[in-house]
Amino acid sequence: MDKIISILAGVLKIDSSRITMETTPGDVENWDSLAQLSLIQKIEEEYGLTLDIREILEIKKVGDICRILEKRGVRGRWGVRRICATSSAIRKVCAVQDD
Amino acid sequence: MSSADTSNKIRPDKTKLLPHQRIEADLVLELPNVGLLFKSKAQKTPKKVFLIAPDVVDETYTYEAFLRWIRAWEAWFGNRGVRKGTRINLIIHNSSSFVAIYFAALGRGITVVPINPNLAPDEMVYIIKDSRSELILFEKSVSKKVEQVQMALAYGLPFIDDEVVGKEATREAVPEDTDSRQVGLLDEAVIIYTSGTTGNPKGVVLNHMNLLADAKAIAEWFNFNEETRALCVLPMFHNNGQVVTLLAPLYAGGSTIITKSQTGLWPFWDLVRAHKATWTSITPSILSILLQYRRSHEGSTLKGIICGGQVLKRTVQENFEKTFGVPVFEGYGLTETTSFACFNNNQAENRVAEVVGRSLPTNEMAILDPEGKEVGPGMEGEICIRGYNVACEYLGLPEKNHQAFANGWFHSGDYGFKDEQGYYHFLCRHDDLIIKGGENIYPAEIENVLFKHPSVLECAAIGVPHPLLGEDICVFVLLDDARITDKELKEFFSGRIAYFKQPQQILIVNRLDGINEIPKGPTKKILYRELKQYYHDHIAKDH
Repeated sequence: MDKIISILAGVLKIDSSRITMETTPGDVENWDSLAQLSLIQKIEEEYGLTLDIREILEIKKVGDICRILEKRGVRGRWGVRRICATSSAIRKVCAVQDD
Repeated sequence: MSSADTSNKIRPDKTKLLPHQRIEADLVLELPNVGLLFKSKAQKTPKKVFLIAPDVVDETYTYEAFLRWIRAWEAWFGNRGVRKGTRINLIIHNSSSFVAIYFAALGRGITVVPINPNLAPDEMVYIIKDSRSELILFEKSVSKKVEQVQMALAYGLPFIDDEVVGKEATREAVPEDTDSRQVGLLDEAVIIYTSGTTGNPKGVVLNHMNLLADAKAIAEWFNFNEETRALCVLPMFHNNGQVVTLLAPLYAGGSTIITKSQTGLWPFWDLVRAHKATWTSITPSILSILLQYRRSHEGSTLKGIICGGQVLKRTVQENFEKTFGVPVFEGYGLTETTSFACFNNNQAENRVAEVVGRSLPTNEMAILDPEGKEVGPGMEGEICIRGYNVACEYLGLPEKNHQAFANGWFHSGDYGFKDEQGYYHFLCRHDDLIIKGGENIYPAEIENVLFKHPSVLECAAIGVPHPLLGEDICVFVLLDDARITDKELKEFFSGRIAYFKQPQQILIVNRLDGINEIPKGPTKKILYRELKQYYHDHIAKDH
């Protein structure tokens, strides 16, 4: 299972199949401020980085987290490896996988 | 409604006040409503920063710029016939948009009834119906939920996306002047819904006098001035966020940094540093959270933290102050007192340990016995409050009003004592209210949901200790089909009640030792204390 999806599923206590790159806090009833705290802490621990204020404010959906990780050079370890097709467009997403 | 003397000072006409709002001290204000408060400050310091909404690209508004936005909203309301006396719901998280609508509505005498966007659709429907609101403004992120609300309402109401209107409003012809002068101190301003013993929330009606009196008292207590920058991390749909970190700094001509409730906690110290926040107001739970998720506070500009909403443990306060070097000023108040009714002394060195403080000049407090007589120093009794910041009533609940606003006092339901020096001490509540992270939740809210499950025979919800939130929710359930699992019951809550009210622990009585049913007294009233004792003796010790 992709690492970031696994982190999200664990923190939000939901099945990973419910998580897409477009999932927002409004879509998951327990994605509240406390869950957001745990999520950021877990991401920082797991990827060994410290998110800055802009990055935290940027997180409006799951895809934003992936984009931030990609920008932070997580690519080398987990990489952008998947191209997702939607009905309207081909959308590049940052699917993060374990080493 | 009010009288103005030659120096343009306004005093409420005491003969028009409700008995529980009359006190000996005078209230002297400069303006009769919240809308005019903003406009007077905008006139005085147009170029000064009023509001910062941190985001990927920060939104920063001077008083002058924000006034233009407010006037655009006023014009939008005016052009659509939304008049004085109309009630509107706002289903909007903390944002600049919420603030603009808030001031525009209050300036026109429109009552703002905010709804927590995290509530379940059924809970929203109840508030919309109970408040008899005629217009609902919501943000895009809740549009799916709003669709369900629209379907559940048996009657049509205009539901309008605030973003769409925001763009539209700025194009509206802005009138030179509005009718803000027609809105008086005793006109209804906001209705804040808070948990009720029956399971349905009750609407606390606050007028302009309530908001202005409390904002003034807080601003003066903490010496807020034009340099004050208050960081608002608490939600605006509750009083604390609205009054302590928006209206009180505004009263002093200061500024507010408004954070989206979802993201404000992790970058708390970054926000303080980046925007030079000088004050904030948070709950004891947030103090614990900031201690647990310890981040660098280097370069902090905070002068003090105002703290209330639940019991503040001395160890948490001391640990926080030692770690972050910022004094925490504890206070006590309720939705019914607009926000705070008393505070510990300002100036860190003058604070007194183990107290919730002294009464604000805008209200009086007393400890009353069950017969309504004031008891002496050190004697326990109910904490009662009266004054300019005490709410008008609970909306449409005459019986509850009769009990709570009796004999010229608001009866809080909280118990404590006053010491020889006049400081108030909070002891406990005498009902079974659960306070989770500063949110009030009565057991009936949770039990009413569970009783809809076909296999539930009896149930009772209690508050159990939680290291960060103060209390969390545990439910004892007696089932007629013991094969049902606690996981199934937890899932049953999903979508029926806001997540923060959902129990994290469900104990199925059929499988517990030493208990066969939900304990009840002679009148069949649930004995919550016995369940708490059982939890303490049998469950907590195993965790």
